Amino acid sequence: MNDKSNNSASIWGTGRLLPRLMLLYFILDIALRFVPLDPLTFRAWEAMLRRYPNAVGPFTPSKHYHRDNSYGGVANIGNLPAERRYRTVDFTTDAFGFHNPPSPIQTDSIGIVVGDSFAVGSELPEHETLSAQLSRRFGGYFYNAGAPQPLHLSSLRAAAQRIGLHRGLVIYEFLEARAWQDPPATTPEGAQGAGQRFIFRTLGQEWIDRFSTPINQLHSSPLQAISAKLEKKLQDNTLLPNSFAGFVIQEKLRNGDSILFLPAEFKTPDDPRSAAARWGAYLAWYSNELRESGLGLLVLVVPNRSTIYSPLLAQPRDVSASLSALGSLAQAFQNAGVRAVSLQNRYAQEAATHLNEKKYLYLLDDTHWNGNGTAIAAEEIFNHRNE
Amino acid sequence: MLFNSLIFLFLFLPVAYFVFWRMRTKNQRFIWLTFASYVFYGTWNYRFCALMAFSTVVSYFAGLGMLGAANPRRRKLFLVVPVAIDLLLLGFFKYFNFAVATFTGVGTLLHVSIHAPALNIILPVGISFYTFHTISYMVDAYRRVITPTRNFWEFSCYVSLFSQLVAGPIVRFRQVETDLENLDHADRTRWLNIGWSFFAIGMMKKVLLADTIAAVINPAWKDVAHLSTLGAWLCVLGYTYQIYFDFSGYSDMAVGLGYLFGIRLPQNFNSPYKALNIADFWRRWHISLSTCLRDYLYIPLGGSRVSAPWLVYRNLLITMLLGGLWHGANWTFVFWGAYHGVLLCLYKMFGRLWDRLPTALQRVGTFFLIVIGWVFFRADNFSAAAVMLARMFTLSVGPLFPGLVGLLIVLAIAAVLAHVAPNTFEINHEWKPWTIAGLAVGYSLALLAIASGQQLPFLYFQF
Repeated sequence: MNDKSNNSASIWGTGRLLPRLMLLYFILDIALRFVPLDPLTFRAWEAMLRRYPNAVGPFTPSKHYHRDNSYGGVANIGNLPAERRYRTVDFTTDAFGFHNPPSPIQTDSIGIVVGDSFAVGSELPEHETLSAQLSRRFGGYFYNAGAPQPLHLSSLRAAAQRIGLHRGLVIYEFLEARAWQDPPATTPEGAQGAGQRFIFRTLGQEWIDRFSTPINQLHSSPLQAISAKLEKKLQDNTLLPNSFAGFVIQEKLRNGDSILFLPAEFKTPDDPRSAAARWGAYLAWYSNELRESGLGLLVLVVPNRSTIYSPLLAQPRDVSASLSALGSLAQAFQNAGVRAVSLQNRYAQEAATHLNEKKYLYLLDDTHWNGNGTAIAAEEIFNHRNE
Repeated sequence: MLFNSLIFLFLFLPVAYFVFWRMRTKNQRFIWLTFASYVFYGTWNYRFCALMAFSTVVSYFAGLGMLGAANPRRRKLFLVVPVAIDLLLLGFFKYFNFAVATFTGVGTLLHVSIHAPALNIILPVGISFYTFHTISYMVDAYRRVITPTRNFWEFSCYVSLFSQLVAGPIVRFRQVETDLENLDHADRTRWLNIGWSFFAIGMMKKVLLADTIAAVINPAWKDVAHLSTLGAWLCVLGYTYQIYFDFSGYSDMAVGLGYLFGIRLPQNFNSPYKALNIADFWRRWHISLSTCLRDYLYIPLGGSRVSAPWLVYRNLLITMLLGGLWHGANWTFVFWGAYHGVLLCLYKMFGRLWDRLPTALQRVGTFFLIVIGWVFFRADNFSAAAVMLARMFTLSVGPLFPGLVGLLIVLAIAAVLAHVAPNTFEINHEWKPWTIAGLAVGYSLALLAIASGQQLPFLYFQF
């Protein structure tokens, strides 16, 4: 039995040095969490998002983010530097933590855009977000209330009240992929837990913000981010194999350009009709509630990038399931009396027509739409505004 | 919870350590270690804590029963029944579906339709290890090698101690009995340096060597049919070093953690790739298992003290077959065990000739035979093993897999450490300033690698 006892009290003893090393690591990790995450980010989303939003906006309020060499999330997931499409990005938030200019809240607002990251438009120049495109088209201000998940009714009403919108249009950006998630409950808070509702109502917005701000600050570990970046640098397929490449699907378009997909982009609901019916019922309720507040709802159905570009690949993929799911959605919304505009046909036509010009509607290294896509979306909404 | 995880390093270990050394009495420390170990085990699957607790209680009362039973038949009953219970549990959780699949396969071969139910059984992590702990305890108690403890918490601490719970070493009660008895007198600083030294070395072996090798060769193992000859050999050599540094790294960490809590755990690896022959290899590789197999299986079968030589070979083969099966419910493990059994038999027959070879040739030859054996151990099935062997021994060219540069660097380091350098039990853990700086740098790199978020579990957690 080993019994190499030693009792060195020297600072060079492993028994003292290594625990102190770990303590230093721990202190460094905590300390770095108080430093802004921006230099470690390659795009606005991670720098601006609050993991524990207060009762208002999902992003850090009154902040501006700028990056000259931002690139797409899918290229980062796959650790594929050669596939990055660099672009300049600016992301500004208002006092409530939504992606809007810092200028005083427009009192001549005529609409609100709600939806997920597509509505947020963090990948886009600020004049190319859907709300900016709509503002130009309509000649009136559209407030960007995009968030990681579409706002629940109570949050939307609060946003409308803040910008003084008493009559107007709510554009609900609905990505095709959302159809295979269950809709929220038809309650104003979208079935947030009773405990959370109680806390919000008891403490009030100011105190929620005071608690959530340090929690958000401490949540992300820059040390972990640095480690992950170093690991990705080493996995360059020369020194070490790129273990991240398997997380993305690399394809080639007919025009020779590379395009990256996430496997999830090709997913379709197991039962598209039931999924569509559930969403139809939810949005019908949403629309009725908004009508009582003087707001009209228009749902913008955005197809997945894979639905539009799979037929245009060098080796095309079948999208019949996606088209069927989109058809079910359109039918369900019509049956439920929900006003909806689908971009499917227009996008398919535009994508095929301009493929050889390399004029795309979505980013090639990210799942989101680009300025061309939002411009067409705004045009379609404008054209259907009276229906 | 893995040893190489942030939650273990920065939450579990500090809390377990500081609370332990605040306790003053033996019993307090036993209870605390038992509680902490169950928390550790529960992070894998809390439901199986009850299984381990049941096995612990059964074995504890078996020991007490043997203590109080004067009648030899009664004493035997207190051994046979609990051991049977332990083996039944192990057999059910680990081998039921394997047995069903085997019977079904045999039926198919014989054109007999067998409809046997396949259950959705989750293998409890570490069941192979803690079952051997309890069985060795009961057998040693029966043989009067140890006196069973009356202190339930001492026994449960021995069975469930988190440092060796899920992947060994397999610790016999007699090996830690003295330290457990003196746990209240343990000096916190006595083994502090050596404990951390073992832990850090083990961490670096696992995270920097084994995991790096795995990152390169695992994708290649999935596409064996397209490997070139050189690629195939690099894959197999890579796995040879990966499994050694993964497992010995874990054992070093376990030993280090034991030291931190005043308990000395046995050596599990003694530079196995320096072995001169296959028997020597099994005296150096997974020592805790091989000695268990020797003491509780080979010797009771008769060992080498039997009337006829063929009985020795029979005993060797049975021992190694079951040793292979212990590693996993797959015929490739059984074959690997049989392969080593055959090699041991051959050494028994022709060992004198082998021993006359030059030392270098003995080492190279032994290493070559071990490498071939790992092909079956690593392969998912015999087809994959056959394809790999074919790629290794027929000349084929092709593109080498990504990460070759990194693999060659790490393999070179691994080879030096495995074949030339002293092992963790041979080095002097009184580090000089410049060497401890190197250790600190290596440990820091391991911490950074862990922080990146991608940790591979220990290879031996599959058992």
